[in-house]
Amino acid sequence: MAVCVAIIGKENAPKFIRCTDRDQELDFHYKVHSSLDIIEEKLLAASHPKATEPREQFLGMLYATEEHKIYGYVTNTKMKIIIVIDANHQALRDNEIRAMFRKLHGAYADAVCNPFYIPGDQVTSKKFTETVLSLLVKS
Amino acid sequence: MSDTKIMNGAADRIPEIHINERKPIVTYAGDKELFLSLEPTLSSSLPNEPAEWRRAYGRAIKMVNVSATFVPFAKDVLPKEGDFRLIDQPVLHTYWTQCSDVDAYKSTVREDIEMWMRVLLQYNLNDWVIILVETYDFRKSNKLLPRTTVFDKIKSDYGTKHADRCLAVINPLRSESRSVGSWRGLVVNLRLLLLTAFDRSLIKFEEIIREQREKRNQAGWSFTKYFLLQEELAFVLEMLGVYEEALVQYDELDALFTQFILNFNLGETPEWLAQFQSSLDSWDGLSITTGVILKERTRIQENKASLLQFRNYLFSRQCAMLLYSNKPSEVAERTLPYLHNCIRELSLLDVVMTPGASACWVFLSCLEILQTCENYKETAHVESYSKFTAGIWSYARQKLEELGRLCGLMPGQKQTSEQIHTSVQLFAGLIEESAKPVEKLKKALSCHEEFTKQYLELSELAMGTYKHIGRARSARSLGFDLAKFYWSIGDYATATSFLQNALHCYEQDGWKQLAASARLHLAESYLKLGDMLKYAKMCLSIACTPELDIAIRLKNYEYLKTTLASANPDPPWTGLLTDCLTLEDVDIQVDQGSTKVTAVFNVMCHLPVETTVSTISAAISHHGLKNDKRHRDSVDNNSIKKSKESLAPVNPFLQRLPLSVRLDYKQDKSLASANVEVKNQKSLVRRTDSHGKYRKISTVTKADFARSLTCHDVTLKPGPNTLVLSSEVNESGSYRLNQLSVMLFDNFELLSPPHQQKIQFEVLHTLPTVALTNSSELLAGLVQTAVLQVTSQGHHIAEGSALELRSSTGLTMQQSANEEDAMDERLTVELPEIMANSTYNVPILIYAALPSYKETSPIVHSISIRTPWAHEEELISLQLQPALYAVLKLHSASANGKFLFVTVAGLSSQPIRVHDPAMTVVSPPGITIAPCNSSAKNIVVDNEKKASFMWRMESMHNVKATPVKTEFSLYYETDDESDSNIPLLYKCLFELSNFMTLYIVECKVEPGRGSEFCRVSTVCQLFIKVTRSTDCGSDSSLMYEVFAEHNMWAVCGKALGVLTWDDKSNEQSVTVDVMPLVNGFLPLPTVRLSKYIPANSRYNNMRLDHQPHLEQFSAGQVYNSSKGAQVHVITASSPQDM
Repeated sequence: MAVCVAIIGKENAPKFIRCTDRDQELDFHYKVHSSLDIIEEKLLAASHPKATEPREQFLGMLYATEEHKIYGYVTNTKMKIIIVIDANHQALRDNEIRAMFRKLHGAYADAVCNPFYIPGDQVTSKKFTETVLSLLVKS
Repeated sequence: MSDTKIMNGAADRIPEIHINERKPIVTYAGDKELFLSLEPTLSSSLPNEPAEWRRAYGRAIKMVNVSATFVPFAKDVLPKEGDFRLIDQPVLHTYWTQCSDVDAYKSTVREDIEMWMRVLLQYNLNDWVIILVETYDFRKSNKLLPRTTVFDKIKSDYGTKHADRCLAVINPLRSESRSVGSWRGLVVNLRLLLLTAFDRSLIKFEEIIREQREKRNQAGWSFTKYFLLQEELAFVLEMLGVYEEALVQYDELDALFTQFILNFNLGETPEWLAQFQSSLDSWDGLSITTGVILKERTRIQENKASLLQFRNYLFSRQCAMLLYSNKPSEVAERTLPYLHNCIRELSLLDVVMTPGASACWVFLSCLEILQTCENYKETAHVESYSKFTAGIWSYARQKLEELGRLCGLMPGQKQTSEQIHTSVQLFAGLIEESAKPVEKLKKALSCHEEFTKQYLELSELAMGTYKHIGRARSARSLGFDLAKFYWSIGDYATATSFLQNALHCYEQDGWKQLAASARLHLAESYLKLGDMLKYAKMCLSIACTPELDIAIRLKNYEYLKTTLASANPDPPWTGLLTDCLTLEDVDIQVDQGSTKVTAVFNVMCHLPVETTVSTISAAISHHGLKNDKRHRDSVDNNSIKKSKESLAPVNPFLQRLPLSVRLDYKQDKSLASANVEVKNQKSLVRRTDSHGKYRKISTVTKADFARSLTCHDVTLKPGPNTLVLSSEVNESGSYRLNQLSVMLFDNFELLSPPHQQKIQFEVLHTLPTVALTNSSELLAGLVQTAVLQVTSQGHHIAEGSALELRSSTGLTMQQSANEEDAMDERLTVELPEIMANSTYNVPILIYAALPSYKETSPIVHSISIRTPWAHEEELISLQLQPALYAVLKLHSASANGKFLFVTVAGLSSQPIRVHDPAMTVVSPPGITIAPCNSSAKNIVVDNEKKASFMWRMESMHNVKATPVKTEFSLYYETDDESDSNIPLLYKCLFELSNFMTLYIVECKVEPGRGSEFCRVSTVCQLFIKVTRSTDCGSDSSLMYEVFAEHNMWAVCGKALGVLTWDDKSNEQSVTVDVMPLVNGFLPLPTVRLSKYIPANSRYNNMRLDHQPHLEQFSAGQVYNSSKGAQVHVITASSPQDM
């Protein structure tokens, strides 16, 4: 399960970040922020004229540290979803992470479909938060 | 053999062996001298060309350059059961002979081959080849009998099943030119046989490996043994130069090992794993070499390797394979996952080690990898591995920091004896002392200066590489980290610049929490640097950061206060307002009629506590008038335009889409679909410039506050506030709202950046207005009351100001208050004091004379007004409806009886009383008229009631020559209760001409012949008699026309005809057949006479058309004596006639 989930807007500003450990929140912010570099790199590579196949939304593992693995996902509107996984949690396979991303993407789409949500604002939807919390590791 | 010995014992002397320098071993038997003479040629020609290695199980075909080492055939070199050192075993066995005599072959050679074969069979070796070296003999080709040569014999003896294993070659030493073809064939065949031999033995070997792997969960199985077994396979593949395949073997081993460790907690721990759980006493870094480090391998063989040592060996082998394949970037790519994985494994296996040992190992390994990568200097390589080396640099730096902290080498730390002991302990774990990374580490941990130097060097390299590969955020984040280091060595300036960069990066991306943490550090940096202005700004910014803890915000708020109090800057410092206040909207309000302009700002205050601000002002800039024509210099002004403007940036998502409806129709015009569409999608889906938005304005220059709206001593609450700024604006023009300035604590001025939206208001000079109003329609010919309305607008009109009114001719005026004054075309109205924005009404009387001719359309007059406040006169235009009008009509009663009939009517609903009508003939003399009216009576007329008067002409002399001019006069007054009405005289001139009777028409209808009465549907006769008067001119022709009511009469005869006069008679008669259609008293059909002017008459000379035409007589010239006559028609005589 994830230790941190972040929704990053089109312009790379965070729209929603939630992590398991409040004390480490700033640390996760740094990690997620740095991972934007790699997302941009991957998007740039994908937008290369030679890359003919349609872009995959799941970007795979962006980078890893001793403690964490960071995975990325980009929607067609350039919204980024980032999941940080505890590196010691080896049981997670790629397709499980994909499923998590799909779930988050769906929940995000539901949240922004709310007519009272102003695009570009922070995501404050209760239901979305619940979905995120269900993905965060309970330890 | 020598190699085996090296593998077993001489590890210390020869540190590593290079597998790829090894060659497959081939034995030779038979004629050794012959072989030795050929060996150099053979050895050199084998690897010249690559051979196709076709492999079993459909594996990819590889091109392999085969070479070989030749050893004499002996039983002790042959592989023994259970010996899996494949690379030390011969794979192919050759037998060489040059026997050319069949008998000799039969007697000796065959026996020798038999023996050789028996040994091979004994060892179960099937990879053999017999080579017959022949001397070229051209006679041989002439031999007629086949199967008589030695080669034939050999083939028949051994080659029945394996024809390809018996080869003949012409000795190249004897006749080089002729042997080329056969020698080439031999080499190709040998290559293939060698590869086939490998394939065969590898398949067998793989089977053994598989078997071993299947046993992995059995007790007594050891991974290290299995590892060494499978590595042999990798060695063979490496020896053959198929490094990718060799790498696959190592990767498989890696995966298997990793899996074992992951499953470590799940089940029983296998015995062999205990070896890797033993506490760590050495943490030598990775050593990358292309060879096999014998020391390491021996250690593994002896089950003495620690986890790190084993991992090091495995990874170095993987790297070697990658480097052989010329893929240094993959080495770099695999490094971090490898290091992370090892660290994880150490913790999973609970390996006991000295603190810092793993950090040492990571640091050394990182440096080793980086050093290896640096050997590849081609741009393509550098570009591809840089992507990964940045992370490695950063990781090494992180570990060095960890070590530095541990050993008390970080700035500000003092090494305790315990820490010195730690570093000594760490050095003790480093056996490999000669390696460069070790030297570096030892140096770095030796003293503070060296440590700092190396740490900064690593940081610079990491950051530089990050920047090089375009990972700006990672670089900034690292810089942020580095700033803390610089901070602790007291280099605040450098730290500040790193922090500024980081802050900028976070702000640009909109990461508020990160920006906030950067600000906290930056504030302290500024304080250390003594840059109080920047410190104050940063404190304010922190105090206004809602993401931070309120306690921190309050603390910084206090810092700001004390800083300002102690610095007391003069002139005040300026800072950016945006941190502290967010402007939401502004409403410019105008107090009508005054010069006060008020701007109501709705702002969001981010300050943590209530703050009283001494002055808030908003600059306004004057832009002159858009329309100069409206400019009139005057004393007063008034601002007009009102607007409520939002100051928040526009969210493009919330903009309304320009949707339009599109209906698609089918061919039959029925609706196919209804859509909404956006016509110009391009403007919507266009990429917005995402960079411009975040352009941070760090410094603002103060705008011109000469004109400004201000308010004083305002208390700003945290959260929403309403600021009311006001000022007097005394100059007309268009104004633009500019910068907002907030003076905080009297000496810190916060300025807003320029507003993105243009917020304007306009100040106009407006003058008092004068208008003339009237309650109802104005009538000419009567005294009318109108109201002169003076509206002061924003002005104050002093007492005694006078308006001068001047009317156009025919219009007179009088102020109704002073009725004694005569009506005049000029009028002066004195005004009392009129306050601003009030209206003063002056009733005035106006009178416009009626025109002396018949006029029904309104009369236009104008009044020009001169006011004391304007240069130009104001012209007010008036439209007056004539009160009444008169119309004259001439009626004839007989040939000489002429009557003048005057109708008087009003034009409006206003009732007017008329009396005393009079008619006088002005010219020519000799005409007298007599009234036929009843004695003077008041008659009331309006637009519905008319009054008529009549006069009879009594004598008519000289009327033929000149027209008659008459004057009609009448007194009139408004018909209302007031007695003050003075009767007014209305005069009207009429002119009459050509009214004397010329012709008299007489008609009658008589029944047809034999009838007594006129009956319906019976033809009757209309007799028309026209009598010419004596005064008639020379008009000779006349046309008559009969008009009859279509439902009463049917004209059967000639309805029109021309009458021509001669001098004889003055009378003509015409009879026209007419038939009545109904019974009763029917009016006679009308007869109309007209002047008939025939074609080509003298009148027509001027005309272009030569058609006869008619001319009407003027009124009175034709007298119809039977006008109004009727005839009695009775019903038809018999029913048949109906």
